[in-house]
Amino acid sequence: MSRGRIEGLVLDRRGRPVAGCTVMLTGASPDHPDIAALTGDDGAFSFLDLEPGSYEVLARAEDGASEVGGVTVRATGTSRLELRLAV
Amino acid sequence: MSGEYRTDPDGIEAQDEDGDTDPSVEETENDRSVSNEGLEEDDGGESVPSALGSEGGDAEAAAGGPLEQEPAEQFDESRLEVRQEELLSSAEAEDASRPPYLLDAWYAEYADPSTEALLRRELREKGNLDDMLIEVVIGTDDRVRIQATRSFPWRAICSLLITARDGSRWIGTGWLISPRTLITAGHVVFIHSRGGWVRSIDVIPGRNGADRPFGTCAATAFRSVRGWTQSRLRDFDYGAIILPTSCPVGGQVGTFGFANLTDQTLRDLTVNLSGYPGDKPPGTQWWHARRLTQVTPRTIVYNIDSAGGQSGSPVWRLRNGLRHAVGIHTNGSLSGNSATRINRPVFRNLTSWRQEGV
Repeated sequence: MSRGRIEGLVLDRRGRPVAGCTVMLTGASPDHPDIAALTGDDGAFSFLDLEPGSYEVLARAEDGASEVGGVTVRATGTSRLELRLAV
Repeated sequence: MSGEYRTDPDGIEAQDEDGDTDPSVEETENDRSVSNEGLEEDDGGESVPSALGSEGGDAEAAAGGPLEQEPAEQFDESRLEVRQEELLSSAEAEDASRPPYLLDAWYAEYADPSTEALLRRELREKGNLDDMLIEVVIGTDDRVRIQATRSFPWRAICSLLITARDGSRWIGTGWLISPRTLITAGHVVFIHSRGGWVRSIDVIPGRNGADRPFGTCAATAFRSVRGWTQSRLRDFDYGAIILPTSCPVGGQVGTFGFANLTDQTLRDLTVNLSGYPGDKPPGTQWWHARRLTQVTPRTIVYNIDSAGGQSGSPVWRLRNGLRHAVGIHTNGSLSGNSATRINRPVFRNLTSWRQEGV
């Protein structure tokens, strides 16, 4: 089965990248490994080798600010998502 | 037969501290069968009823008594009593400071002597191993925060900070089965899309937010199996972390037992799961329990709440005060979260990895 990917950014309310933010696929997504990513200094994250389907992505910063976004992953290519944290 | 089974998918693969992958993989006994014949049965131990867990409500409460859920299932108590009598008749069991049920339980769980000594000391101090006071915070979902991460078994569950081969960072969970061996998901130690074997993992036993009561161990030695590293099969998603010799933390915090149970025993079994989910405050441990909804030869499925970061969490049964992991949590899904089942080949590999860390 061909697999796609999600690439994204986590930003704060002012649009600045958030480093060290936990990003994960939620239970409202197709079957996936329950490992969570930590954003880099540029606020970037990615999930690779995903089966096609509708995914829900949750980002949670250390201070509790969080955001959820939905994205559709296709068999090939990259689906992009920007999550702007809300307190 | 063709070369279809030339390589055993449960064949061990290793990545050690020097960064080189060991090409001479250790072959486990070729076990193509996923039959449940002749499985290792857990011992059971003395009947020590424990109250079922979580309480409802939103308020923080200091709860007395055990948190974990213990299934009420039938078992052969006569066999257990016989075993106790055998122990009582032995010279060692005449030692009044050595509770027979404890001796029986930990031998059966393959615990090392240091863990046994640790529990005996706690028994003397507390008077009752099951009398664990656990403060809980009840949130709006069913999961319960574990505040007592300095207590067993919570302290034997570890927060993992993973640095992948490509430099990306991840969080997961692992659990100790020997002084220097943790079990976790295969995709925690080997991430196919990130260069394979991870670069390093910081292991934090019993982490509670910013509190690291047992410090941090940096690990660079990992284990998994061919079915995961080479074939990337979900059914073989399991692995281990071998801590450096300078960090035998399992001897300090205690270790989980593990068991290969029959399909019949697993069906409708209530299991516990605790780990470090990413949707909660960083580094906090959360517990949940539910009945298994599905059992396959290589997986177990449940509606236990979980979230990213809990990959590698132990899925265990508590019975009569004895804990045996029966699965390694790996996947989240709408159709039910799942673990790699500890069946015979998995049990054997866990036993082998356990020995490496003794």
